[in-house]
Amino acid sequence: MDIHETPAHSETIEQNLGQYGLSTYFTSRFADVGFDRDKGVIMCVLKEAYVPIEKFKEIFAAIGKLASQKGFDKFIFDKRSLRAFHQPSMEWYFIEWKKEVYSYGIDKHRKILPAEAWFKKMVQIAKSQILTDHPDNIVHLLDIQYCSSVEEAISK
Amino acid sequence: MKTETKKERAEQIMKIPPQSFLIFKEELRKERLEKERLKAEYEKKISTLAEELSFLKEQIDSQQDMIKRTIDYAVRLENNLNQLNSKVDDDKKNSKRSYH
Repeated sequence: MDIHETPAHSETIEQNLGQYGLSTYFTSRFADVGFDRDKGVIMCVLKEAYVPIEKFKEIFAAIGKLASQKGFDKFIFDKRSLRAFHQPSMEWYFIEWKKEVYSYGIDKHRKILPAEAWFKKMVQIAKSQILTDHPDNIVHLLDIQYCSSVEEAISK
Repeated sequence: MKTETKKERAEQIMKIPPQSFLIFKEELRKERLEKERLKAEYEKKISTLAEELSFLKEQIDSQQDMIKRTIDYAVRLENNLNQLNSKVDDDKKNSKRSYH
């Protein structure tokens, strides 16, 4: 599905993004993306238990395009629907994509993980592996915080 | 002006296909169109299924990879714990010796 294709339930999605004061940038089968220029926030909400790498890169390339319009400094990534993740996708997101959007001014990353402890542990293991494999990462330049809700992520 | 002979008239009539043939031809055309529509629909469904299967395969591979990484991590933790236990045992032995 093309990322700009609007599914039948788009009204609900817009209402969901709208309740946080966000405008819809695009919706697709795998993710909804919204933004708030006044607050400098871009938010991506994943909707499936798994996002294939090809689709993942499509989504984040589009977000990168939005970020390149400048004026944004915070990216909220809601991964609560995920039950599995693809290490190479995460590596690409963590190393390449974050570096790209950092160059556009996004240095605050707020993440919302699924409540399951095993998933949080998996993320921790994967992240530690990525940081070990890529010592030239820019994590020290970023303000990364984990949140439990969108409201918290927006205000923090 | 040429007068149409009986033979020529008969030939002319023969050239006009009977009504039943025209109906059959039309039905055949409709069937062909329906066949093409069903074929396109089937191919679309197969392509969607193939894409879903490829997504599922990638998901299973990722889950296996996650399990592998978790086990590697648990094995590393177990090794570290064993080393720590040995060190604690050694320290205990050494500290006992130091008292006597």
